[in-house]
Amino acid sequence: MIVDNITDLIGNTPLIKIPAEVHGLKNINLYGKLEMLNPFGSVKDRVAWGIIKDDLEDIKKNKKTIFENSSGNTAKALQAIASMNGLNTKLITYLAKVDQVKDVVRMMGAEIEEVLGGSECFDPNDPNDPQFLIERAVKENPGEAYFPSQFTNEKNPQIHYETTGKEIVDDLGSVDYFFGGLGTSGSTLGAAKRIRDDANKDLVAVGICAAKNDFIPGIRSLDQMWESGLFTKDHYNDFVYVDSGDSCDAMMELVKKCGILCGPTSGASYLGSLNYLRQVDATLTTRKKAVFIVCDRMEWYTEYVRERRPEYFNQPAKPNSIRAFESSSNDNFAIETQEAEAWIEEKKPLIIDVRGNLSYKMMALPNSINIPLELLDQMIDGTYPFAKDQAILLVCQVGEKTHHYASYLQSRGYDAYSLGGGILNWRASDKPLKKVA
Amino acid sequence: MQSTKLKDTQCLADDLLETGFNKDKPGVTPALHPSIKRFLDNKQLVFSLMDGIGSPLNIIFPDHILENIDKFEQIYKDRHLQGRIFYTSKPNKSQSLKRRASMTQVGLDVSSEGELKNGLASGFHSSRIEATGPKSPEYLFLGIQHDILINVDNFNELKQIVQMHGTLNLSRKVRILVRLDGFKSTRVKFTTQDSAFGIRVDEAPQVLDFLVEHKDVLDFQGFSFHFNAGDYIRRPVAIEQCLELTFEAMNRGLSPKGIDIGGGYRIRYAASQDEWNAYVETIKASVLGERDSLTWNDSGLGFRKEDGLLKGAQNFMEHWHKDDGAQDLASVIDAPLPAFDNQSLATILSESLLELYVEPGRAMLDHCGVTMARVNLTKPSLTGENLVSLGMNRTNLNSTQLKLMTDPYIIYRANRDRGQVDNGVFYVGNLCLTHDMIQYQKTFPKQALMEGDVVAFINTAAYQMDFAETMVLQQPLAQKVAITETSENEFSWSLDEKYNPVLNKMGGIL
Repeated sequence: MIVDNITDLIGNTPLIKIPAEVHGLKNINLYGKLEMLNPFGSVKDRVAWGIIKDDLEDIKKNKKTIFENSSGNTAKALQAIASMNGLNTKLITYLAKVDQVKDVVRMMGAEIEEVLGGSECFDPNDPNDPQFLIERAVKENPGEAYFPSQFTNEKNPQIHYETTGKEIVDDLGSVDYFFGGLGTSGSTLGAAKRIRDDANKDLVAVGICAAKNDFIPGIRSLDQMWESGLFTKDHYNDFVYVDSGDSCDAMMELVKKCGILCGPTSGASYLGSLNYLRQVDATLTTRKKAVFIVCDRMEWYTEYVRERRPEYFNQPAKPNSIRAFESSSNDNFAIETQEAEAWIEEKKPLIIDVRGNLSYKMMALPNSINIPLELLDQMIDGTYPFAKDQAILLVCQVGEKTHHYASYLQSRGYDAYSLGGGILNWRASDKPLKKVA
Repeated sequence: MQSTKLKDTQCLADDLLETGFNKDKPGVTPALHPSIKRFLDNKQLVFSLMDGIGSPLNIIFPDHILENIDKFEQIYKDRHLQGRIFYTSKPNKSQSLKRRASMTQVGLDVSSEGELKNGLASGFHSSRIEATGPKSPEYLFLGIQHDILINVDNFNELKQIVQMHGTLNLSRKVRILVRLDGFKSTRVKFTTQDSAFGIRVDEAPQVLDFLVEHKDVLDFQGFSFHFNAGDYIRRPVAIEQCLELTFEAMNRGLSPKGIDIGGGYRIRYAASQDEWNAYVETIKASVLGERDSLTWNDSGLGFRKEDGLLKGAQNFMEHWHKDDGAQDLASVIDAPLPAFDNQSLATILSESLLELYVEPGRAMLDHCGVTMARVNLTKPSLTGENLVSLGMNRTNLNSTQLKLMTDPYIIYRANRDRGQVDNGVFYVGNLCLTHDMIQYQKTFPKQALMEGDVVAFINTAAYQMDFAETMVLQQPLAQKVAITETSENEFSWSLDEKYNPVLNKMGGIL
């Protein structure tokens, strides 16, 4: 297949049938619309391109800057299109975002401005709410600014009507249930309308929402939805709330059992559809079809998942490594401050300060060297970086971490000790300290 | 086909949440400390205090500040952090809270000459007190004479301290922190938000020059900043710049002991996250005309309808957060700092043997106070709303500045023939005005209120009960009463200024 332009690859995404043994529903076929296969990686490629393509010549001719209230998937798609066309973008945002996505957008050259909002001690005489600030930033330079305005632009649901919804109907014929995350509400509104118009006027459209104090990328709480100009509550038959942690679990189910390397927002849509469909499944007598949106890819979200489900990252510790080692509670590992000077004089130990270099630089024991813990970990994990007849004194701030390390090194036959009470006690006892740099 | 649900009915989301949120009579259940609930349910005590001392009446629970102090101290302990937690005096004038806090390890952060005097009088030794805020000559004089740690707000103040030190011919140095603001980062760009606090960080080089020049007079202990609750974007940037300047100060021969990251830690006023979210959504729906109005004169609480769209921003605080109080602090000091290889402030400070100073104000007073008022009369408004007129006014709850959105707790007098409550009520005050609103939102009490009942607003110790109180129209200020739960469901009380925690501990005998 040869294409002229990467944007030619936007849309025409396949539906994947989720195996019944994965979702467990008896009377419903569940399909995922693989929007993650769009070239810039998300369902937002359709929206960004759909809104901007007709105006592109004008934007280029007048050298307009593209403004948008996003630093997520829409921003990524817009920025890709802008970069290809030599255009500048300015992204103004005030909702929580995923740093990795933001970084990629920044790498591609976008200017990102954060609006401060939601302070608790606000000045009630200040009328400048965040939305107003965003609009003002655009209105200041009307001739030079282009504002796709994904939250209010009718082209957003329209593109989903023309493409996403049509593709689903072409592939499946009638659909009974449709699930989408509530973001701008463009995808759910547009695609659901097309399905209702062409295939099944009784389609049940369900919006997947996040609780307000939770954060699922690209999904808002029902309460925040009122601020999206496109949102029409009547067009939805129902709403389902999902938790971000549970969404990560659902995402991992799709990843592991179906090989769909999607992100947590797709997990949220999958989870929301299951929560809803399980309730109706038992009441059904005929076979039904349901579709949810697999909106983007997994790779951006490692940090996001780590925050919510750290257990996915806990690889088993190597045998004999420091991580596999359990400290003994016995006290033979510490050299206390009062005896330390004499001990150092006698043993001439290698003094290793395991704190960060910044802290070491400002203040350290004389003749100590600095190997921060992250480095020390790598050095001692199963390797032999020190001579066993060389005494070692480990120094940290309070002597707690080094106690564990001394105990580990002793278990491997090293003559290693921890400075009891750490450098904090050392300083409190007026023992000599030097500034390294 | 499955029957589809319409927007007016409970949707599945509500069923899943099992909130039982009543869309016809929406409300926000307050987070209520079990001991405060036991007190409020002790009707005889509540009525005798109300009738004997008068309306309005502020109830203080001095022992509850210990629970908040414990939580903050635990954050320090868990991270081996040195330094001091300064309880900020500003949100409440109560003597009993300060006296109780003085018997712990916390310091006190005062913001005026009067607060400084009051802090000393409440049992805080001057070595535990920090003076912030704009300084009058009298305030500065008293602070310097008592060897108070002075958090310097501006360059002029630095010069004034040096001058005053010379005039007083002191042999010791003046201990100072220097407050900065106007932090900038190449990594994050944010819209400017003006502040009356601090010295612009651009002027830090001149500040350092001045501190070095006056090393023999000024004992510089560190840089400080303060942001309001909920300001998460700027804090990491401010922390990074303060740290960089701290290390620079060390390189220039100064001996800063730590950094001061201020306060701004939040309170969870609402009992339930789901109920709170559903409530705010209901307010928005009412502003859009999707249901009947819930606000006085349809004023919208900051929201308005424009071209069919919701515009504006809420003019009330978030009443539920994932992290409140000490957890809020933890999230700030544990956050990775990109300029420092993603190490956290807690790690850097503890490894560098630097101290951390914080000034929690609001969060220190969580569950420490309740504001009670007597119902004076009930009547319909011009448009037929039910008004409940209380023996208090908006200055007694700071209602124009900080809107308390939780439903008040009502203590009904017994044995009365109460009518049906078919609609909600608005609480209005005793000022001779058309709109002395205590709350701008309609609330839905379970039974109709009658004259003599007592209405208690929950968790008002921080900034609500006495921050803005005035004797406007010669209405009385609220008295404060300190309550101690001596054993479960047994309460003793004293006037706030008579509260004596030492004598209490000694069983009243000395």
